[in-house]
Amino acid sequence: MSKGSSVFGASLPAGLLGYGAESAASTHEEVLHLFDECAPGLRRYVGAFGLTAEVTEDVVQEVFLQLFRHLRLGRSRANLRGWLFRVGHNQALKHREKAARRHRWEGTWDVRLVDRVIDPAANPEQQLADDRRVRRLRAVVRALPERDRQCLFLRAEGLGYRDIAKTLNISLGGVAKSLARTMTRLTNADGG
Amino acid sequence: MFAKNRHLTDREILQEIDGELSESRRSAVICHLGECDACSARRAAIASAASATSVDYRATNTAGPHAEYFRARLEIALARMAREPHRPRFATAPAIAVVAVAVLMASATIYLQSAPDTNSLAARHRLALPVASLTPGAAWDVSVDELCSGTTHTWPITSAMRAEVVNAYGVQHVPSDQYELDFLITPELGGATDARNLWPQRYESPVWNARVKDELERLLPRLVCGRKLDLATAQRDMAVDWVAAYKKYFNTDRPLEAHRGPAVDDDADVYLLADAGPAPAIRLVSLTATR
Repeated sequence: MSKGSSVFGASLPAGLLGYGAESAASTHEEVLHLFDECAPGLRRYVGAFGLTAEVTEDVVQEVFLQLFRHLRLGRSRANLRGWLFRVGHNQALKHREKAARRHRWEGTWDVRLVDRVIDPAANPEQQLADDRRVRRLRAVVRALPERDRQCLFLRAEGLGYRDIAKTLNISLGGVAKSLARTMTRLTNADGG
Repeated sequence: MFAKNRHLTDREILQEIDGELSESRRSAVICHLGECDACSARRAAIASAASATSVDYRATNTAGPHAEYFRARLEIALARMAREPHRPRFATAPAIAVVAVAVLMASATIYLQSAPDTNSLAARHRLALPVASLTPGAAWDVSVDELCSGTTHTWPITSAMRAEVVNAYGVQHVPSDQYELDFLITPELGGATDARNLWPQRYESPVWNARVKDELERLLPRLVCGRKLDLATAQRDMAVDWVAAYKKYFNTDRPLEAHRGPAVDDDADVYLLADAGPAPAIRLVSLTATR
């Protein structure tokens, strides 16, 4: 077979496969690339709203489908990572409200933080100390007001203050204040 | 600038860690940290707590073993969405102008030339066939008895083979659920698992699409095994022009209503369940002259 020629694009009639599919196909690839890059973090963040694993995945999928529509409409490509978290945040809130109408919502976000990476190189004493420390810090995070916790998690996902502010619809100063307040609590619990 | 007797706040320290200070403020903070042991120790404590919390949070494995499934799910949904028509946003006035120009041009075209009849059955027929030079058709050298006894084996379409066909037809960027990689001569008629016998057939091809061909692929093996049709004839008819073969064997000019249902890509199930063992010799059915 001869290779390298785009048969559908060149010598076949327009009604055949491939016609007009180029832009959709490249957007498709772009969205999948972003999914590979950002879905784990987005899933983690959305899951922290206390949604079930199934609902979390539904939200994540919906966010990327919205991204596809967004890109196909020729809208801004600037800071798509921030865009994903912003849309994910809003979707997660919507789903949680929906769930809350059915059942009284109880914050279960911390349940997801059970599996953690164990450093195999650390000795048993060190592991024990690390484990205690993580438990102390988790207790602080668990006790944080939700907005502070969201700021903390978005920071952990690598978002800058400006993106966090946009995602949570608060001021830049509000983000800095929230994170500083959280750090004060964390360091106090950490023996600082 | 900071007063000499004032320590940095946690907010200033964290903003310095996060790179969220302006250049001038950052210089002042770093200068202070260099001179103040208390603030320097505080910075280390904050950085450590922030880092430990982030690491713990990020250690959550969010998708587990389902990551591939979730990706595939999105891929399918995107492919479906890509088929939906989308309307780019235009500003109202330019959009009206564009539409007006398009209408004028279309009218002029209709007036000045007779447009090719792309909706005719003949044109639709032509669109449904593979490219003869790429997919001439190839069959295993097997007898009717072997074929109909069920003792013959099928071989899987390898990824290399799939890539060869996809590249040759230039459809690398087309979502795979828009077409099936179809055997020109169906394996039930001895069609070979070979790039020369494979082509990407679009589900959405007008009229003569994969769904319709599937029906022919069900009928011909029954006729061959019932000794009502010669195997070589069936293979040749499929390779030369399956649409003509459909018309001939179903005695109709257009697909029967009952054959326009949803596609069943049973090839995928059948041919991935391949048996081991040597493949029979490939016998090319070379009938490209008539296509």
